[in-house]
Amino acid sequence: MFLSLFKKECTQVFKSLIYWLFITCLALFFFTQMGKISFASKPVKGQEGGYGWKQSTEKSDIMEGTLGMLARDYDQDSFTTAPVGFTKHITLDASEKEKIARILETCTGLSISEIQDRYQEYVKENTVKLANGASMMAADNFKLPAKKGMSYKEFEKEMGKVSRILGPGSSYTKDRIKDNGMVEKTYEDALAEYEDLMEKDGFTGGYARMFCDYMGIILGILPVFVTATRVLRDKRSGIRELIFVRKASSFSIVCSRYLALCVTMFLPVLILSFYPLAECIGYAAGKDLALDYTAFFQYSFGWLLPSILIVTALSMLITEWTETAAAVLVQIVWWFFSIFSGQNAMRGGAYGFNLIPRHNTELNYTGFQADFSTLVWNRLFYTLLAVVLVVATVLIYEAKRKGRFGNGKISCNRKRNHTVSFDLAGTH
Amino acid sequence: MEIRIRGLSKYYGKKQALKNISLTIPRGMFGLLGPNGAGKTTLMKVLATLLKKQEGRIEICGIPIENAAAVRAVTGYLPQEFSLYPNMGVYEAMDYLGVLSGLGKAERKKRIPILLRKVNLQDQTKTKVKALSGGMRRRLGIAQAILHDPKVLIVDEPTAGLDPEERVRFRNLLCEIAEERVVILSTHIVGDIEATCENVAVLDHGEILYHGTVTELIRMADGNVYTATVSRKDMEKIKSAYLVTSMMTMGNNVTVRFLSESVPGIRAKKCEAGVEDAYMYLMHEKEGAGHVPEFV
Repeated sequence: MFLSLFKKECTQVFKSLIYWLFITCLALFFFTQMGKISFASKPVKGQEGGYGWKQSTEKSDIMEGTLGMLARDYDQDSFTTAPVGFTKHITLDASEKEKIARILETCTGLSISEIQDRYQEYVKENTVKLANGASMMAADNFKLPAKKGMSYKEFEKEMGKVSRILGPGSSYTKDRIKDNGMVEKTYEDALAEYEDLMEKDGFTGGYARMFCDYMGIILGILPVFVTATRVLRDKRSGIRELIFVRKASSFSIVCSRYLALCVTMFLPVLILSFYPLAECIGYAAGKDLALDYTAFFQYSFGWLLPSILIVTALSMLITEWTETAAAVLVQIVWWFFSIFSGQNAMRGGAYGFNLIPRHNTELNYTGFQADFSTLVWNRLFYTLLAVVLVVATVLIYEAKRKGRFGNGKISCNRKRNHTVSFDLAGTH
Repeated sequence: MEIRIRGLSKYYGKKQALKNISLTIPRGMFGLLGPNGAGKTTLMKVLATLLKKQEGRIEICGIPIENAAAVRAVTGYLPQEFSLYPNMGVYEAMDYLGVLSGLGKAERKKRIPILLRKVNLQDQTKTKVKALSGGMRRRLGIAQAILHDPKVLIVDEPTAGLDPEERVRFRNLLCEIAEERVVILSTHIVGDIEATCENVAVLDHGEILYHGTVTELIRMADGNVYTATVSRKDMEKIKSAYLVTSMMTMGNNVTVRFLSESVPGIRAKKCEAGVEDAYMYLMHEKEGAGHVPEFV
């Protein structure tokens, strides 16, 4: 019965308009955001300053980067925080600004005017004129060394004061200052990354991660629409009671529906993954590259499928429970938080327990390897959570079948609350 | 093959919807009659495992109602507000519900065309449910309810809103189906019971007022039904003095049918009681008068 029911549910999803809208949005997102791959080329020697940036774990780099950032913010009188994920610009009053100036002086051993002069000089040196006459900064990574003898602990304490002035979500909190130590990559760094991609990563691995990065964003939200529509369809069409009185168990009904939703939503993702795979194969043709042809499948299953599983399970539970589209609202909120909390880990290697793990580069294989176990735990956690939520949905469904939430006319009429019912009998 | 209900009570919060109901429903058509809000739908839903009872014992073909899965396997249900996915075709909808009923592919392929022919929908297999008329939908409702060949069929207010021709067709269909199973027909339309049922129970405010054969029910009103032709201006007086069960206007005169326990003080002719008269008589007795009022 389960397999037949699963097939029927798949057919229902395939025939629904919302599913085709889902595919359209998925494809549009893929082609507009990731689209054609611009393949990484082998770094050439002697292009110092052009190899990009990397995050340093050296405390001196962290202090330099953080103080440079604070000096810039002070000079521009614009501080940025993101307390709930959304970026917020803060302008300080005179006394608060004075406190920031004192902190800068304490940390650098320079006067505030000396600090500002240094920053202005950096701006002048790094400003380039564009063809249309406008000007822009070529680089924005001003560094200001800490004064001699200043310990990291003292530095953290001073940054704590800055955090208190700016409020939560600034770049000066104890956790966030670690991200401020950006240093330029050397030729050797860039070459090592490139070689990792070509050899250890089987070439396609890096692009498969990038594919997952993009698709993970859209799959963190889209499944809620398909799921909520499917579940609410039973209520809208008035078929619930007919299904409730059938022999099929609640487990079969809920699980076949859940699996059908997940499979049908994962299918277009797999099909789309052929596009970047074909690009990789085309690029590698005639080159001495040992491609990993299964990388896109492996990454899609391990990285993207858990996203579909958890979003679908949560949406199903909330929709079945509330019989409203509240799941859409809940998922939008979760999605926003996930997107914004991932902003500081765009290059990968810091996946945490974010619903949408980020790795917006084909490179950084080392970072991926270093945080691989976290990523595995992350995906396993969401998969297991999805299972728990589906079981909860089965229990709610079973309780509803037995009328625990009211299948009677009195309770139904109460719930209906003046909405027009689809009453074939035309009575009452 | 019967349904046994003993001491059944059901509450919605503090409101008692069913009060200590005891019934035995044998094979064949069984009518459940009562006004709106009597508790008919609640009783049907309890029997269909859609509502949980609070007190009492129910056995459906020997299966305790608590064993919901087994009860569902032997029960077919046509709800009062019957509906399917509007965009599904007739055959497709039947096939989907067949899968939910645990029927195999071969069985579905065999049974669905037979049932659609039985309910005269064999030419509508691909028609979308939303394109069916009210009568067709009701017939489809019956077909889906007996898809898994249940021993018990629960039909809630099936003829409400149907035109007279569809109503007759539907009643005949139910009688045909009832030959080999228990069919419980809940309705507030007395004509449906009169035309189809041998046994009947009358329910009001959650209580059983009567349980027995239709003939016995009619016998209760026997000798108390009169018909008279009066002028239209006297109608108000008749209405206030007697329980009028029907009337027909012809020019300035009205032929009125009413209930009276003694010979009325107007020129009236005693006539044979019908189910409607008996039902009205019963309901009025229950209201506390104990007897029908006399012309003053």
